[in-house]
Amino acid sequence: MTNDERMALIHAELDGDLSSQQRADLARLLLADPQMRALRDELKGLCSRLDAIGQVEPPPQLKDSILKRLPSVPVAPTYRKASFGRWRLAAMVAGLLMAGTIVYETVQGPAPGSRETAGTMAADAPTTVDSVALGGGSVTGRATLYRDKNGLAVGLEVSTAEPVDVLITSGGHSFRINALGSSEPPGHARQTVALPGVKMQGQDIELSLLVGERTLSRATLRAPAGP
Amino acid sequence: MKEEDDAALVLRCREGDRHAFEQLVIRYQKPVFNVALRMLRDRQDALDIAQTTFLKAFEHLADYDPAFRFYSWLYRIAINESLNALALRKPRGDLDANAADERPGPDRDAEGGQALQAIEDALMRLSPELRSAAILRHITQLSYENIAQALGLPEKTVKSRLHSARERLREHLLRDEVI
Repeated sequence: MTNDERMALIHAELDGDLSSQQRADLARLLLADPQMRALRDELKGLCSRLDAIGQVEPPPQLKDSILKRLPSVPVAPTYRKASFGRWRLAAMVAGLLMAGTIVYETVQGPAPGSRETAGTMAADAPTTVDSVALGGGSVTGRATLYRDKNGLAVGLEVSTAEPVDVLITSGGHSFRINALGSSEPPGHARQTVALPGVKMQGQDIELSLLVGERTLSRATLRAPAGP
Repeated sequence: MKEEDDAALVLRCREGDRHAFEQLVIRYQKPVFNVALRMLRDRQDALDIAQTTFLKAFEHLADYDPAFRFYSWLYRIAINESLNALALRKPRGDLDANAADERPGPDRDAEGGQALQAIEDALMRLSPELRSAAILRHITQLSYENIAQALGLPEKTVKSRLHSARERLREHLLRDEVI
């Protein structure tokens, strides 16, 4: 049994996640190895201390201070989980329209109105506002600022050797993507995040790639004043 | 049962019932405040984060996916806000590790006070990623599944972070001769 496997058994015991077979394995290992026994006892003591920290009462005025600051409008308009689904839907609709156009033109021959069709298709599709390369440490990639009828969104495409957090700030708004690149297989990640509340007002949108508190790189997207 | 209650309250909030949101604030203000307090170890910052967390939750309630537990979503906002606050914080050297917790009187006077102080110091020496895993597990007592939802990570990654957190804490406390 490797050291990692032994440690996993100890942590599983601390979490109360041991099967009866694992419990027997652990008991045998502990009996045979005093060092492992000491380590287990130290970690057990540590967890007891952590659990004993408990929770302190917040100040009594916290609730009222929150309720006082609630906006009068109860809930923002629906802007569901980033815009990944929306992009995918837009791409599917665009794909279907394009396939339809190709079939139609194959059957009917090129029609004079095909350019207008393309124009209509583009009206609701996301348009690229700005794009910037990302680089720093073991991360490379690109950030793109999009706009569609729902507002602004940032698309990120990165290659990274370790999961990175992305902090996006603009004006008083901040958005965070945790552990980009942590899904399996690791390395290449793509994600789009909607920026509700951020308008086209000629402002900068700052991006920071972070690993822990260490900033790997920064980049700026520009949202020019909209029409 | 409690989850059903949360879901019902969220539904009422979405229909514009502010009293329902007040119930959610009453229910979760303590753990949210404590998550922020342990992440930042600054009472005033923790208050600000707790307020911001609930305000953001209210403003974006339409974005909440009922497939997840409401409190996981709430903790996710609180953790993200705390991470943002830490990222924007100017380097303070050992200040974080030495900052006094403002827990009043009797708890701190007890015999275990010093040991508690030592473990709080050790928590602040962890990276924010490891610290958030340890806090959600040991302070708010969340399951791995709920921590994974709150941190937006696979359960496997959460386990790995929590194990690393415990082992680093053990090393710190051994060095300080607390255990």
